[in-house]
Order: sequence, then structure tokens, then C-alpha cells
Amino acid sequence: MPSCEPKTRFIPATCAWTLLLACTTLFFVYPCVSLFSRWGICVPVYQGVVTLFVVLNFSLATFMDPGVIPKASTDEDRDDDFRAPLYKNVEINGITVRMKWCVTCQFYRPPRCSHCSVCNHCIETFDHHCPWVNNCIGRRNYRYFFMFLCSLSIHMISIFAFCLVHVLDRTEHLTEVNTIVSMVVMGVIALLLIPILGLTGFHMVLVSRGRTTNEQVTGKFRGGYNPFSRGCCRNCCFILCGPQYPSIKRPAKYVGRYKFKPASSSPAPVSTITSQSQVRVYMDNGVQAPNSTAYSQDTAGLITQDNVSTVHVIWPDVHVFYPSAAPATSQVSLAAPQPTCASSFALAVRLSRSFTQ
Amino acid sequence: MATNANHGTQLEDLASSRPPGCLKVFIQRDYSEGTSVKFQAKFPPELEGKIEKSAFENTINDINGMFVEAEKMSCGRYCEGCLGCLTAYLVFFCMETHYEQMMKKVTKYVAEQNERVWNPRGLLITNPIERGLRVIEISLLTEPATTRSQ
Repeated sequence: MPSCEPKTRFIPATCAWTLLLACTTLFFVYPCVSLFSRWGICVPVYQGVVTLFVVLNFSLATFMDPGVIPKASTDEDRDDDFRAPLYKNVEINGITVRMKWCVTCQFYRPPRCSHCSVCNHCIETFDHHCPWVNNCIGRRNYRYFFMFLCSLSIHMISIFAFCLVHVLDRTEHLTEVNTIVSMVVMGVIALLLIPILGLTGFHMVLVSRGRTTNEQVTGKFRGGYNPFSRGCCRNCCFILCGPQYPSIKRPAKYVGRYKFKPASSSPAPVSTITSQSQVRVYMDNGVQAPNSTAYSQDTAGLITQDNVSTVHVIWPDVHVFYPSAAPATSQVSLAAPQPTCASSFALAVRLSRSFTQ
Repeated sequence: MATNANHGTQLEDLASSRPPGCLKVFIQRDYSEGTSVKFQAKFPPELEGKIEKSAFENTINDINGMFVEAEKMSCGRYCEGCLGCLTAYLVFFCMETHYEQMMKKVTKYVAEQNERVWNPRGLLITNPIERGLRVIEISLLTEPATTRSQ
């Protein structure tokens, strides 16, 4: 369930796209023409390549699956639901990391994974949910997001420089349309350049230290050792040219042709429950005489849970009775703190200040 | 309710692709070396007497090996990234990345192992991708779900 109305969700992303495209178009239509006549073809070609790169990385960060882990299906380790604790500890490179049970997705969140309350999915190597790209930034699209930030910084600085050169060239003709447009574009860039440079710098530091925004903001490794860092140089390499993780949202893409066919590829005698009568008998056992099952010593809740979930698998039609944890889900996931662009902006600004000192 | 509807569709998928109602063993991920895909090669007690320990470990280690190969940083991955950049990422529309190729290799390997090793013993190993690379599911086809040991 999205935390805000679908319409308001799209506003920041639409603003970002409009601003980017409008300023770039204004630059190409007005000052670039006179710069072209003075400096030659290299100005529009250079700026065109940078713009293409910005737009491509922006689109990839926006539309790519950030690394969604599909929700676990209902037949997986049902009994864990009641007995298993909320947290599970695993040791990674000698450091104990806590894995939290995700109520919505029904599995222990892998290390570095977090549940995004806006997208309502668990995202692998969750960085943050960025409202400006209207997408989560995770394992799959972090590279493109980072490249987008870097190319956007270059794009803004070079447009600002070109506009400045143009204005200084025509100090006597300040009332010309070209010059006025240049100054407007420069004004917009001047407003946005500081936060964007700050954010880019912040992410450069994160990449080199092998952290995510989420881990940085929540202070996961404060004063400690980061088990996921591979050393500065390898961290950068890994982000920029590491393996490209495929999307696991639709496993059919990889499974399709080799799908299991019970009839042809299992020659061994298999005694699964096939006939309806068997299922009925089994269900009656469970419902009427729970004491006769192996679960007699457990709580009543567990008995019904397990019985129904087992029936579930055999008899898909009865799934309505499944006492799922769903109602509690959305509230729990909403309560989880999510670092957004806003907080990373604030942090970026703080960080960039500390750099300049 | 929306969530119930979700369960419904998932179950329909399950019913069509997996043998229903049999005991299942889940091999969990091994995170000791970070977030790279690796599964625990510890022999689960439920499989005692069903399959040799060596055969089990062989399959798991082979699958782990393929994921190590997929996530390894090498010159090839670097070239792949550069090629993508230079062609404005259009090359990924017509070329499979190395990881995708490895993923298909895993699928092929799992199907082959099922046919040769697991199915004759009444077991079925499911491609980890079907569980979001979190677990490997092993179905004990000859045992109904009720005879769970604990």
C-alpha cells in the first residue's frame, strides 16, 4: 500500500523531469545557437552527449526494477511463523548482523535488504526511496542512480559555464532574448547546484566506503567495521563495473523452457495426494480431531494455522480461510523508518560542510 | 481483501508448477561471505536415508560455484559495462548479461540434476530463482506434508 496518494507520488518526479528537460531545451534553443556560431560544433555535440547520458541514466534509475525480492509463497516454513523470533543473527565476515522477519514478505530480510513502505516490497541492498525518481534505489539501479548524479553535476556545471561565457560576451546587449534566457537558466542552476553537488559528494563517499544511504543514516556501522566493504578501490569498481544483477521479479524468464513436468520427468513411483477422497479424509482429521495430529502439544493457534496452510497447498480453493498476517502487515511496514531523498539531502549538505572545513 | 487475492494467484501458480502437499526442506542462504548468493551446504536431517550426503553437497556446491562465477569481478564484466555505456545501454536489449547467462545455466543444471540424481530418489530440487534466490526448495515427493518431523 503506497503511503501517499498515487497522484502525489508522481509530483516530485514530474517536477524533476520537467525542470531538467525545460532548462536543457532552453539552453539548446537560445544561448547554444550563438555559442555555436562563435565556438563551432563542439559545444552542442559535447552538451548533447552529456544530456543523453543524463536522460538515459535518469530513465534507467526511474524505470528499472531496483532489486525487488518477491514475497514468499504461503507454503514456505509456515511453522516458523509462531515459534521463530522476530530477529535472526547471522555472522558476516566475522560481524554479527541481525536479520529481521518481514511480516509483509514473510521471510527474514537478507542483510542490507529493507522493506520500502512506498513500494511495499523488500529491496535488495536498499539505499533509499527517492521521490525524485519515484523509485527505490537498490542493488540493481544504484549504479545508474550514481551515474545520473555524476552526469547531472557535470551537465549543470557545464551549462552554467556556457551561459556565463555567453552573458559575459554580450554585456552590452543584456536585453536580448538569448541573454535573458541565459540568466534565467543560470539562476535556476545556481539554486539547485549546491544540493545536487552535495548529494553527489555524499554518494561518492558512500560508494568509496561501501555503504548505503540507509546504513549511513541509521548509523549501522557507527564507530564499527563494515563487513560489506571490500576496500575503497574495489568498492568503486564494484559499483561502476561489477556484475549486473538480473531482475528476479519474474522467474519464468529463466525457468520457462525447463519447467518441471511431473508426468514425464519423474520416473520414480511418487505417492503424492492426488484423489479428492484422500484430501477429505485428511481435512476431517485436522478439523475434528486435532489431538490426533502430531501438533497436539502445541498451541491451538498453531494447529489451525498449520492445518489450514497444509490444506491450502493441497486444495487451492480453501485459501480464504487462511488466517494470514496481512491486516497487521501494512501498519507495521509503514512504521519502519525510511530514509528519503530529503534526509539524504540534509545529510549531504551537512557532509559537504564538514568537507569544506 | 487485496492480500487474500494475492495469495490466491500465488497458489494457482503453485498448483500448476509444483507437486502439491508433500514435505519440503528449505536450504537457506549462507551469508557468511556477504550478500553474494551462496547456499548452506549443511546436510539437512530430513534427507537422511533419502540421498547420499556427497550427492547433496555436490549439487549445492555446483550451484554455489555458478553464482560465484556470475558475481565475480573480471575484465569481462568491465567490458560489458563499458559496452553498455558506449551504446547508450541499447546493447542490453539484444545481448544477455553474463549474470543472465549464468542464471540460465543454473536452470539447466537443476533440471539435469533432477533428472539424473534427485527424481530417481523421489526428491525434487527447485531452482532457487523461483524463491527469489533466498532458498533452495527440496520436495520429498514420497512423503505428505503431515509427517513433518517436529
